[in-house]
Amino acid sequence: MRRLRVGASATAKTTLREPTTLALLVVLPPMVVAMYGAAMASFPDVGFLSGSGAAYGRLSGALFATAFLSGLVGLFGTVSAARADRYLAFSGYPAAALFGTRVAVSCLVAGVAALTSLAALVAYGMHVASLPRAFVVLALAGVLYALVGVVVGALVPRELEGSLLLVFLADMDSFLSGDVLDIDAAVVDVMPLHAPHAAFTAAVQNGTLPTDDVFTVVASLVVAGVAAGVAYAAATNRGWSA
Amino acid sequence: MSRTRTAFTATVTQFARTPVLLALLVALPAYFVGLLGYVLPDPTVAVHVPGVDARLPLGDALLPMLAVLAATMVTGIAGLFVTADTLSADGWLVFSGFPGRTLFVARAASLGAVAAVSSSAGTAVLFAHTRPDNAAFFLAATVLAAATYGLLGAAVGALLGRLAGVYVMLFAPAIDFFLVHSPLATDPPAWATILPGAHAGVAALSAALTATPDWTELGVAVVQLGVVTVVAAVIVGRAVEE
Repeated sequence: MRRLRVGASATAKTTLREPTTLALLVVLPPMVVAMYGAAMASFPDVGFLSGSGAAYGRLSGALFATAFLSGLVGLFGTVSAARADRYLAFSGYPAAALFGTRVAVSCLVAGVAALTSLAALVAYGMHVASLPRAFVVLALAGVLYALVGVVVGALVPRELEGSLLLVFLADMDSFLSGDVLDIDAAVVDVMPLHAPHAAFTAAVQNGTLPTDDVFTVVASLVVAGVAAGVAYAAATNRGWSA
Repeated sequence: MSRTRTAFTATVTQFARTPVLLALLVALPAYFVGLLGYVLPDPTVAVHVPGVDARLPLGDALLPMLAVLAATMVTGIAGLFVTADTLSADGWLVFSGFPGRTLFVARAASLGAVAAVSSSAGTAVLFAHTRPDNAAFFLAATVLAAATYGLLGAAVGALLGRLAGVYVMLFAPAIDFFLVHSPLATDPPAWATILPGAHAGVAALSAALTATPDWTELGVAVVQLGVVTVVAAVIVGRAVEE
């Protein structure tokens, strides 16, 4: 437990010591929320988009801004610490503790990103029916993407290639997960943000959390957590190629 | 000239030395266009592109724009990492007498190659779903858009670094092509006219959806590429000298 605390503290300091990372956490999510809102306002209210396009855009922007930022921190944290983790594992530091530090920091980043995104949503005049529920869903979406970022970083331990993979997954996710288009395909259901999008919409609009969506989010977190842990342990034990 | 060729060859060799990266440059745009072409539903939608006033099947309306988006994301992120990865080495090269302008020309030329490869991959898969009315013009406009974002990525890499840069280069093309200049959107916000999608993107869509492509927008896109090249050269040059 002490090792986990020390590792998480060191990783958090390394992450937050970078001024660009701090600025990123505070500035970029509100910008994305604003731009998504402005951009979606130019969509006419046709069949596939019920209600206000701007409101839908801000809501989606808050979710994507939180999730993708956390995903990138998960990816870059894994890749940049690859060499150090290899030596730590070699010198007897448990892979589980190393992985735990990654998850703990990812949760912290997801929480901060969720907070700033939600604050931006409120600042732009959006009525949020249940702030605590909306925050929890946003933070969980962030943790989910952070774990996806860890998986990508462990499997492809190079920043450029990992970024390309994560960006295309994220873009496909933003296109399909919001149910903007009436797409009847299994691939929509397996998009990481499909259930979080539905849960976040319900929390913002009605103040509720649909049980099936919450169950799917939790199940996704468990699957992503196991996948991230296995990939991380395998990569640490075999030594990184980066 | 031989120095430019040497620097260009070194950059391309660096790409070629990483087969995973080469595969991703081709596979990601192909996967993006191919999968979305497969899952998009059939209903017709109203298309809002200058010179086009029609209702088209959703796939015919959206896939050309998605091919442009895929190429711009790949090239933008490649541009970001080309700068971020070579900044330190280029600083030493300039310090030892290698002209900074020569280095920038070589990096920009390698980004042109990435733009051509990723645009060709996306356009080739586009043919499996829908055929642009003027394929050569469409490809040229797509390469222009991708090259513009590649150079923007280079500038962002010098200003923001990797993590913040990837975040920006994920959302910037998505907001530009997927939201603001989507063929489904009307009345984009005033600030959208400075984005590459307003010119190269509209030129590409006009070539995809009409037999009379918009040469004026293509010309403006060329000018815009020139402006972005100068801006990127200044920003990257200063970063190299630091």
